[in-house]
Amino acid sequence: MRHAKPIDEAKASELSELARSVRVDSMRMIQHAGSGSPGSTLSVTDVLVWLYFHEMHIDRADCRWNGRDRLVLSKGQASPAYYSIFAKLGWVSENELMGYRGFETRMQTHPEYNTIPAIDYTSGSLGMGLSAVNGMALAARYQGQNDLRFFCIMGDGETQEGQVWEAAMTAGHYKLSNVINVIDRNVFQGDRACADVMDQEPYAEKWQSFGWDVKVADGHSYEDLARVMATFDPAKPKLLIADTVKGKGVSFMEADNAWHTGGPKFDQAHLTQALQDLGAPT
Amino acid sequence: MLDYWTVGEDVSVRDAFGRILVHMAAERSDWVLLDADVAGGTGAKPLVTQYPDRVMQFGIAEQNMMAAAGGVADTGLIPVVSTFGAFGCMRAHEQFRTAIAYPERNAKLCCSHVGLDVGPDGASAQMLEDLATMRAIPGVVVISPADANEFMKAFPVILDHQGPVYMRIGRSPTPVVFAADHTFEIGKATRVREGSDVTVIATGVMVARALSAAETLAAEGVSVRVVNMATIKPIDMAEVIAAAVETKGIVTAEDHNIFGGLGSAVAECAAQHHPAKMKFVGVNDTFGKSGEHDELPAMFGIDAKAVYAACKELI
Repeated sequence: MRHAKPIDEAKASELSELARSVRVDSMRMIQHAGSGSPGSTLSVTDVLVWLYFHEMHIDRADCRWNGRDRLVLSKGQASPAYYSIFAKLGWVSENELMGYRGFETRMQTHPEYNTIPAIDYTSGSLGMGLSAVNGMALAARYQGQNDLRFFCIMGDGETQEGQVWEAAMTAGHYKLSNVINVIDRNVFQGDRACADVMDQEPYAEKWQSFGWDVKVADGHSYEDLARVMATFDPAKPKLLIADTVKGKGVSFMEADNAWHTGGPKFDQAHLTQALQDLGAPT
Repeated sequence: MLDYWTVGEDVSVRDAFGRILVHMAAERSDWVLLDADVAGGTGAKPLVTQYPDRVMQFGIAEQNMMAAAGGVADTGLIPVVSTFGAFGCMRAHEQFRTAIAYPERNAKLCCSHVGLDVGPDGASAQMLEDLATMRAIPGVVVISPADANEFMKAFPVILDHQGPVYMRIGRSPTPVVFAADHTFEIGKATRVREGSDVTVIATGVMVARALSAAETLAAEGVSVRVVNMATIKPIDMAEVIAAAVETKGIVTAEDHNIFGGLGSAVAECAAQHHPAKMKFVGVNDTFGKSGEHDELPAMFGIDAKAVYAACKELI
C-alpha cells in the first residue's frame, strides 16, 4: 500500500495559497447561488486541498486513471470546494464554477457521478460514502489491486446515520487497511452543535472498538495532517479525525452555525467582507 | 453443461438461482455476489460453498451492502446483490436509488421472499410492494421470471445488460412452464397459450396458475390467451396492445399488491394506446399472513380460481 507523504514548509505554503483561493471560489459560488453550505465547505477545504494536491496519487492529465487513489465526498454539501479544486486541477473549466446550484449545470449541489468524470461516487444522501469506499476496497482486493487507497470524507453530524456504523463494522471486519475515513469534526451540524443534537462522542473509542486505528489531527495544518497520516497502523482501517473550525477563514462565519447555510443573508456586503478576510480582491 | 428442469416439474426458483450462480462463476470472473447472511434463504448457498472467493459477506446490514455495491460497480466488477425482497427493495431502497440507479451503475439485485410466496414467515417478509417500488425508479429493469428455467435463462442476460436490474427469485416449488429451449429477452413477453376471447397477462408464479385457469375455461368453450410478462419494466407494449386489440379484455395476474405492479404497468400502456376492459388479480391492498404456499393464494385471491373468475367477469 502507498505510504503517507511527508510535507515541507514550501509545500505547506503552496497548499495554503491554494486553499485560500478555493475558499474565495467557494464564497463567490455560494453567494452567487443565493444558498449553499458555506460553514461546512470552509471547514473541510484544507483537508481536501491536502489530499488532492499532495497526499493522493492522481493523474492530473487523466482524472479517471485506474491507478488513482479514490475519494468519496460523503458530506456532499461541501461541493463548492470540491469543484474549485477540480477547476484548479484542470478537470472542469473555471467558467463552470459560477453555475453552482444553477440550471443545466454540472455544478450540482451534491456531487453526482456521471456528470463530472472526476467524481467517484454520487453523494449528498448522508451516511453512504464509507459503504462505497468499502465496496471499492473489497473489489480492489478481489482484483488484486493492493496499492490503491480509498478516502472517505464525512461530517461529524453525519455519523448519526446508522449506515455509517454498518460500514465501520465492515471495514473493521475485513481489515480494510487501505480505507481512510476522515471525519471533519467542526462540532456543528444543521441545527446546532452536534453534542446538543445527538452526541456522538467519544468518537475515538467507538471507532477503535470497531477495529479501526484512530488518530486526531489539526484539520487546518498540512504539517499535522501529514505527520499523523504517517503514524497509522498499517494493518487496520484508518480514521483521521480532523479537528476543524466551521466557517474557517471568514471572520463572521467562524464557529457561528448561523452560517451552516447561506441564503438571503449572504448579501454583497457579507461577500465583500469574506473576500477581504481571505485576502482576495473584492 | 447446464441442466434444465422438465416442464411440469415443481421446482423452487431458489434452486435455479444456486445452479446458475455456480455455472456462471465457472464461466466468467467479472461478477461477485453480495450477501447479507441469507444465502441459505435466497438459494445462493451452492455458490458460497463452491466459490467462496466470489462472495462478499456483509452481515445483516443491507443498507451498507447496497451502497457498497455502488462502490464495487465503480471498479468495473458487477455486483449481484442478493437478499430478501423486503430488505433489498424496501429497507435499502434509497441506497439502491441513490447509489445504484441514479449513477446508472452496472449492478444487479436478485431478491427472494417476494409476494405471498414466503409461506410461514408471514407479513413482514412478504414483499408485496417490490414491483411498485422498483418500477418507480428511473432506468431500472424489473424482471419476474415465471419459473426456474426462465430464471436460469434470464440471469446471463441481466449480467450482459449494462445498467441496474432488479429480478425476483421465487421461493416455493412452482410448476416449470418453459422448456430448455426457451429464450429470454429483456422487455419481450412470451405468449404461452393462444386465445381469442380474453387475455391473461401474468407474471412469476401466476403464469402457471393462469395456464391452469385457461385450461378450465377452454373446457367451457372460452378461448384464453396467456401471456408471460416476465419483464415488468420496460413492458412489452406491443404485446399489451395486441391483447387489447385482439381480445375482449385483459386480466392481469401477479403475486403482488394490485397497486403499482404488473396490473398498473399494463393499464398505463393500454390506457394510452388502446383502452381495454381490465380486471386485476393480485393481493387486494392488504398485508399478508403466515401460511403455506398452497394455502395463502386462495385466501388472498391469487389462485387459479381467482384468475378463472376474473376472466368470466370480463366476457
